[in-house]
Amino acid sequence: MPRDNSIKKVLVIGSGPIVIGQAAEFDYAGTQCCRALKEEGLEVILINSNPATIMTDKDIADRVYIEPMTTDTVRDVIRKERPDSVIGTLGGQTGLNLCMELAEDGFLDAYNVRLIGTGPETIRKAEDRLIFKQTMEAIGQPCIESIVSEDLQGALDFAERTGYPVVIRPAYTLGGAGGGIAYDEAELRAIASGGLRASRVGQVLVERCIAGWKEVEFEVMRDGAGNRIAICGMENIDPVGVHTGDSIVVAPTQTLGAPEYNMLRKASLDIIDELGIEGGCNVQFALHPASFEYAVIEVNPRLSRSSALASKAVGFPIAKVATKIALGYRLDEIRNAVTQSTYASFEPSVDYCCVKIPKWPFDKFVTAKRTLGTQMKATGEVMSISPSFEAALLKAVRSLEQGFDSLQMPELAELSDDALEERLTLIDDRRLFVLAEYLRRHIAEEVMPLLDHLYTITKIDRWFLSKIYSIVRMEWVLTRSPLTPQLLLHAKKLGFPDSLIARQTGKTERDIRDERLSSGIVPGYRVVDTCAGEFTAQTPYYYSAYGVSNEAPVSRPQPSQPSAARRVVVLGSGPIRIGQGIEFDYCSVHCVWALQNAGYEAIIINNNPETVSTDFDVADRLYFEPLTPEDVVSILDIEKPIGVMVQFGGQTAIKLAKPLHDLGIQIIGTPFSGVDGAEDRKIFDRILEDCKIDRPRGAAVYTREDAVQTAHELGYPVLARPSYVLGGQGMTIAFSDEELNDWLDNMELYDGRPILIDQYIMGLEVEVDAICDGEDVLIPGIMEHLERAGVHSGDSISVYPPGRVPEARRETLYRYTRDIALALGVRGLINIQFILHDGKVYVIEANPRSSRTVPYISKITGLPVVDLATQAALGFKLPDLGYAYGFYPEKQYTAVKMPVFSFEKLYGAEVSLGPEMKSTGEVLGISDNLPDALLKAFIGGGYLRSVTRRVIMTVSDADKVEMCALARRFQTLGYEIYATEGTYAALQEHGLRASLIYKVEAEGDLNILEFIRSKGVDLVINTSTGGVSSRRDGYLIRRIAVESGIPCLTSLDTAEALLLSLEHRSPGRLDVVDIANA
Amino acid sequence: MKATIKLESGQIFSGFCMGGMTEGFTSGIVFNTSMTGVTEILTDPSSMGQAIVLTNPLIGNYGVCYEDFQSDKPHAAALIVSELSEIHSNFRSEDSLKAVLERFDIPVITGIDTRSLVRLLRSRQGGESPRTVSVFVGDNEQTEYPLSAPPLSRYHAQRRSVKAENTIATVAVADTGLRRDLERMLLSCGVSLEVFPYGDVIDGTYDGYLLPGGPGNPEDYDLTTVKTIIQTGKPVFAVGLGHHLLALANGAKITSLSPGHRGANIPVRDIQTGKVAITTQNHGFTVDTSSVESGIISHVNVNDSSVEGLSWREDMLSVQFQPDVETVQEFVKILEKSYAKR
Repeated sequence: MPRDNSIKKVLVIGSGPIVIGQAAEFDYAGTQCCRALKEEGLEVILINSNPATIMTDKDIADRVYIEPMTTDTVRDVIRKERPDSVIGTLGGQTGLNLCMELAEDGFLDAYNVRLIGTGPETIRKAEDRLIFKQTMEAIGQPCIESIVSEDLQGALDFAERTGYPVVIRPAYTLGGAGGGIAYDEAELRAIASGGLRASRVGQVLVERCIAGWKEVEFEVMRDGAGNRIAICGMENIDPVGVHTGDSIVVAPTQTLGAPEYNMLRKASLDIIDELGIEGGCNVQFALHPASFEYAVIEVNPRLSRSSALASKAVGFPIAKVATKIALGYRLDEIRNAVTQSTYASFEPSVDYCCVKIPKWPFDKFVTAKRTLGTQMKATGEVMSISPSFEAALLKAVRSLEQGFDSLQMPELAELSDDALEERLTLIDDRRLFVLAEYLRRHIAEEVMPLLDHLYTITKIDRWFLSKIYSIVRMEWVLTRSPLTPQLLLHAKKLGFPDSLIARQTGKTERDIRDERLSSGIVPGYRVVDTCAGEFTAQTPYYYSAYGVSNEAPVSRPQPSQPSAARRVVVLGSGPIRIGQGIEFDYCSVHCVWALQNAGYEAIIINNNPETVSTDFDVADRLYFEPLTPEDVVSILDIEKPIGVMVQFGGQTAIKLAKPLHDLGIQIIGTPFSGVDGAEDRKIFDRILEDCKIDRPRGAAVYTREDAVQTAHELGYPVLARPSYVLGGQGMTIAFSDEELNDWLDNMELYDGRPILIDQYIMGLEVEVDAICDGEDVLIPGIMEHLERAGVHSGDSISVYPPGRVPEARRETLYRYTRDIALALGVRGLINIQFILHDGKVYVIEANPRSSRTVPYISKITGLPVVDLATQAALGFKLPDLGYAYGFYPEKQYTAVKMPVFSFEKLYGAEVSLGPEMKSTGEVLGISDNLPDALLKAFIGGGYLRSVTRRVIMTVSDADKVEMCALARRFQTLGYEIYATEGTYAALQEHGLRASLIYKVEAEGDLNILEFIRSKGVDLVINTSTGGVSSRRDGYLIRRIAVESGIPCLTSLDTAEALLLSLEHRSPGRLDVVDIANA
Repeated sequence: MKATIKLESGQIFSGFCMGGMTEGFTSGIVFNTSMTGVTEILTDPSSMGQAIVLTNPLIGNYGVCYEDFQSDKPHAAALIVSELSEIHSNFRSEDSLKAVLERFDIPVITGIDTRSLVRLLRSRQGGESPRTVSVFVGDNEQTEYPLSAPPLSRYHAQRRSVKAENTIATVAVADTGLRRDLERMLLSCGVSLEVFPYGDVIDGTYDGYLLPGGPGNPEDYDLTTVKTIIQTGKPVFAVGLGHHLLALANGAKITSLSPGHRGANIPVRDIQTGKVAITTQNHGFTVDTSSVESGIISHVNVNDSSVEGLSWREDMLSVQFQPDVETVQEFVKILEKSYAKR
């Protein structure tokens, strides 16, 4: 079945902003999809509200709509573009839902648009709980038995039938309150009756308990002719109970015997056959650890996070193949892009194992609960590849960049034995380290009883536990045996970094490296080839291993080599985390492309399986490796590049500038001295002084006394932060000695590094990204932050072009940017943040690297920022590239970047915005005027709810006057105001109508929390107040709001922006803008 | 004990050898890309006389369950792996793989860079084992054992009868190395088996005949039995080696595959339906496409276009891959039809 030639113009729907549970994997999927469509010569229309993505580049699609992900927008785009087909299975749940809504209400039919690939019938079968269950039953696939019961007897009858234990989940309670696991009738009686009371609707879901079963996933594909393949089977190390997105996952499965493996593989293939999938699909199973019993947990009839992982784990481009299937191709007509000699209808076989570890944001959200359960909490993930499981695990741990090079976590070493034993029962992000610590303390004991004990508590398969044991045993051996070359090689095969071997043997890292090199113990790089070496692979996708031969092309530099053979290594940005998101993957990928265009061989190192940069056909060679100095240097030893690009991979990459520089490795572009100059307080102060540039006064201090004294000299409020951090991590604004001391108490983490105390200026914050070629700078545009300084720039609404920066100030901004860039020796990108206050311009900070605004400013100005920066880094001059210095001409439209948060997923996390970044993603709003651009951004960010037209206001005393002005405007728009006591009084005073709503502890429906919970409001505006109890109340109000899905604004500036957009809301539709051709 | 695998081209692989290497040891060397099923591979009679390199680096994790044996014992000559698990963890596991190999006196060489070895083995040209591969065992590499001997092995079957519940047909097996999974599938379809060691005289009284898989070079087999079976005019089903023997008996040519089809991921297209199935295979030969009429080719390999199945007569089917339930049922249907005609 060749391609369906009636398909000519395809609409691709993306997944919108990055939130927990829906991240960069959909940029990877969407980008691959668009490229596959273009490869076929089709016209591609794209909708995605996320400007940080690669898929929204004009080179990826023919028409790009960075617009809110709503059915209204998609309708508008379809009306305007009239595509003949739409693909919805590559844009996560968001894309899928949009397609289904439009299919179900008849819009797609009315406009003759076909949903290609997996169709609406199939999607419905997989997504609707009831139909899905019936479908599974019809083909004899077991699901987890459950019932919804409104009385105790129903629950008891169910448990009698299925057996104990059972899980009780009350309907409509937050965070699973009132639920639990009952192991016998008495427990069920107690929990279920409590649950029935707790549930607002008096319902409980009673489900057979399968916690502790193995969790196994299969990625499978099926074409329109009914051919099916299993791409990859993956096993969660954490048994059922922890969300698969929060589980440590290994691929391929390791503890399943052939009969179980074949049983589940066949079940997944039977399921996609029955559902009629045409494309990719993910099937999750729970498998009883001591029998062949299993249950289908979930089926995702689309590309998913697991698909991205499976793609990278086995080297099979699932999104590309799914796209080709949607176009009508059969699996046996699609070439395997890795081998080029086999076809896609071939099940990948791997000769290594992959380990995925999630990256959690608990370092950012210190108040958030770290326990892991059914709600996913990770923002990103890392993957590693090795023939040894131990090495894969340790590589993944290193890739997380948590400051650990091993399974040693110092805080656990301090626990008593009893406390540690207790910690074994706690399922949180530290469990892996707890298990290792336990084994470390019992290393001299017999191994099997230890593993049995840990298995009994955790239900983690003994095989995995034995591997943790194997790592800990090597730690132990290293402390007591002479370090022979054999032992050293053995440790390296287990994935031990030099730093760990050095620590265990009491030597220095340098000693270990020297010993290693003198014994010829270096890693070899192997190819990921989908076929376990059976066929020759064409694809340059590598991972390291010790004791194996090297397959990567070793560089033998010759002076006469043509330019095409010049190699440059680009360092990627590692896992997606708050403060370092997909933006840096965008920059890394564009740097690779720019290098290739300039005639270089571009080599990328990264470890994030979700991203475009780790797609095997992006760079000339991809090394899937941790981004630590040792891991990077080992690759450089083979590649011998002319230099390394550190400025595009965020903090991950720039952090490596120093160790690489120290080893004499050429940093391309801004030299290490420039990186250091921007970070080192003293050097940077001197530069600013020389350039006659103001900055908020401040100092770097090392002790508590100095910190407090500096604060007194500067006068409160002060901005306090540790140096060398990302996204304002650990940053605070302190208004008093007490607050400063509180903060200092939590700062042991940054022991030995200075703390920066700055004067806090509450002015207008603006930022620029600039390209410097060593002569002068080109500034794509100025971005103005709507919120006052104090809210982290990544969490602020950012507006281009700026509306409040006077012409004269712009000149100053340009001069300052140029002077700082030249003084630091920048070649490439620099990001500078300024505060405008009282007619003066202050510099807050400068980062000589790409920033999170680069994709945004590139897209809205149309300037190829990363491309130019890469060329500048290589030594080209901007005028020779056809660009003038100074500001790039402003566009005729306004673009608003709106942050998007994932607070509802992070139980306990503080919602109030401040100097520490909290957002996980962003959306763009674009229009010819600011209010409409804002409106689009608010819609895209999910801030607009218009159900009740009620708003709750509860603000600090300092904000009350300003609040009243806003309240009046809300009333004019027809909103009812609800306010707590203090705010209510202030409103009354100003002659404003409002309803009083009672405090947190009050009883009744007008209790503020109940009121929010019952979704009686569309918006909560809450600003932090002083005082312990009102601070606690505020925290609760904000938490309940986000957990109830009610937008909560914690800055009056944001509220005012929202008002502005609502006041100018025109009755007609908002026009959609094709940014690729604007 | 230290073990070093050497190739004639000079490459050396160092590892450790456990057990089994005794005087007179000789074998062929092949690699298998299956990610699970080591017990099944080792106990498949087709593996007889072969040192098997597994591309999956982590072996023995789930131990051994005797029920998974495909015959009464492991037949492989040796196992070559990257890492043999120290523990075995699975509810069905009765023994560690290491213990089982020890019991059956099968040497295992561990710590080998199996991928690099496979990359060298895959590039072999023109036959099963033209290149010299040897293993040297002992600290001073005192003893050399050849790993590239020609496959001369024969499986010695026992005469036995296996009755299905509610027998619908009885099939005679000219047993060159019948796998238990095929036996079980036939039994579960109501087919009883009369198993004869290959070469024994089988008369024409059975409802059908099965030529199963097995070890060695098909050209080394005497074809008298196969020819007799063809002449009965009864339904015939042949698998693996049996498929090759049937082809030879029908006048087709056999060529050796380099490096062979050994894995669980081999795509085979059914010519009639156009559908592709992923199959498990374990053999090193194929029927020369030019030696058969294209009309009788029922299955082809998607990767290398080699013949995977032949339909010699309406009631004489043969496949090169290990048949799945559907393929077996097709044969059962033929048996039923032929029975009904009588």
